[in-house]
Amino acid sequence: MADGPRHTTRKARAPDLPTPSTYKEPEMADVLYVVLTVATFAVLALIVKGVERLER
Amino acid sequence: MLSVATSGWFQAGLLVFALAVTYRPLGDYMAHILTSTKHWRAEKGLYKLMGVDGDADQTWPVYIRSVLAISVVGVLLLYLILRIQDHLMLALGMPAMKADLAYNTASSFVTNTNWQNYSGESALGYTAQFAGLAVQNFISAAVGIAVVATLIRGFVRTRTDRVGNFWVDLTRLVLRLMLPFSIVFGIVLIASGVPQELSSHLTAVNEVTGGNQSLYTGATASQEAIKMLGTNGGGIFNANSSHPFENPNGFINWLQIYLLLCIGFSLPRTFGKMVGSHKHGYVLVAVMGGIWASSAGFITWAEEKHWGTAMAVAGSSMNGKEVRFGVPASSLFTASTTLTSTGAVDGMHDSYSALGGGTALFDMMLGEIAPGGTGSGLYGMLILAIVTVFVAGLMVGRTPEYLGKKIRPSEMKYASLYILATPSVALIGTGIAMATTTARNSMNNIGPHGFTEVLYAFTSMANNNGSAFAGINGNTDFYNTLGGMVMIFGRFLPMVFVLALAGSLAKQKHTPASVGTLKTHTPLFAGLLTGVIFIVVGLTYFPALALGPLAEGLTK
Repeated sequence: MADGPRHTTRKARAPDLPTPSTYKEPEMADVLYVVLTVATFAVLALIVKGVERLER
Repeated sequence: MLSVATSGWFQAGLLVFALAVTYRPLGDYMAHILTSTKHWRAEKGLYKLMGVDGDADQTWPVYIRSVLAISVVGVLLLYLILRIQDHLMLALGMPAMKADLAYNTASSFVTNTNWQNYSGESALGYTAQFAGLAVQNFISAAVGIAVVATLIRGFVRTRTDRVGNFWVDLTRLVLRLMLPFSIVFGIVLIASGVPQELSSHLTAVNEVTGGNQSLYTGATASQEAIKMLGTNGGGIFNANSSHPFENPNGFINWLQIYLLLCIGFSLPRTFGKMVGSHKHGYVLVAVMGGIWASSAGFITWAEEKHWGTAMAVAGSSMNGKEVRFGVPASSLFTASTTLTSTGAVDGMHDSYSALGGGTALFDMMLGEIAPGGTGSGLYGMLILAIVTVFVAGLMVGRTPEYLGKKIRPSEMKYASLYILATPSVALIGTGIAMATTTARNSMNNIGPHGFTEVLYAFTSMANNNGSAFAGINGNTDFYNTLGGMVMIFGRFLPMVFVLALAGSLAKQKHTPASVGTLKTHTPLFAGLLTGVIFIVVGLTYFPALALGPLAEGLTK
């Protein structure tokens, strides 16, 4: 076998993967981003309504 | 052995040839998808599942609300997947994504932007890649084409308020176009050396130096095909198309450029076929091709000839280029990715010369219309064609017409709002960032170059490009949150005006051309359209460009 990188597989978690961050999530972060998403699309829906009025 | 320059010319020539060969069959096929009255059995099954009447068309407000509905559900669903990915199978031990980053990533992939503030290989497992990101790669690409289809129907239809059925357009475009093409090109990529495996393991490689490294290989080929074909651009790896697993050789580099351009450059044929005038398609594709060739040529020139000691010694600027492919192929990739909404990169745009990097930035500022993202490029170009007809009409003092439809004040209102929408989102985002200390702290450079980094980021996000100039740390609460909002408004706000315009045009009766009607299938119109693109769109950003790349490029 010629020299060169040999490929093997293993199940273990790779050692060079980043370890889980010590970053602490702000409380209610999920609620904030879900509300922000819904609010952003609600604004777009309102703009659609406004353009519909512009049409009339 | 070909020189790098000869190889570059050869690749560009072959690309033009391949795109020219594809133009007609692919364009006609897309027209067939959008006009066929027959539904496939699988499509009928999906309509039944969704509760959709496949033969009932929608008005424009219902159509855009359908687009918004699937998109808000898409963002929330993708956000959920990213937040719980550590509990999903094939997660490869990756932790859940933090909330602000998950919001940014979800907004990014649903809007076809694919801006990435994370490294794919160290942040995402297979399930999040497949069930999350890849699904949006297909849907977001199809949504763009669906929206341009309504605008084309607006020109074709008369005295109706119906512009098409979003669910039918979306289902057909995914099943008949995106999926089969992605499968075929995925196989080509695998055959050419792109990895494709779905084990729950990472591949351990013994390094030359004697060390050991675990590599993420993953199902790269299947993701890569839709990444380029759908002008998505989100890489499996942080280095994107610079990574040898995503882009292992010169052929794949060329194929990737072809894939990201082929739909955009074929859509004018679809337009020509649907409106019954192929000449109009040729005019649009000529303008697109001219801008694309100019951009690729100028970036290559800037990188080959720009001042600088290192560049003078080396003969060209290899800084930031993919060294395996050289300056011409890297420049061709850069122009192609920033003139479409792709955003995949095979080099580091931040390390390009000021004028080369500035051109990449300017490409996005033009609205990504040459040829642009899947669908979004053509509707941007058609809006500019309407503005051009209007300007020409003002010159001769008559009501402008385009393809038998009058361009009245209402149509011009929608066209103007469309043109203002994206620059407003990009420049307001940049302004907020520059006025915020936290955001400024993310900059790794000062002066014009630092400003360009921020301007590039918001221009890329607002235009749904997704390429990063790099140089700023985007993975902060501020950039993730504001960036997510910028991408959503940058994508859907212009779509609202396109749909409104489509509805307005569809309601009109057909106006036959008269002696005074401006001929819109001539080289003169192509020149006028090019002028309008540069003056109306390009100049919107001129003050910002003057503060960034122009100031840097003109300072020795």
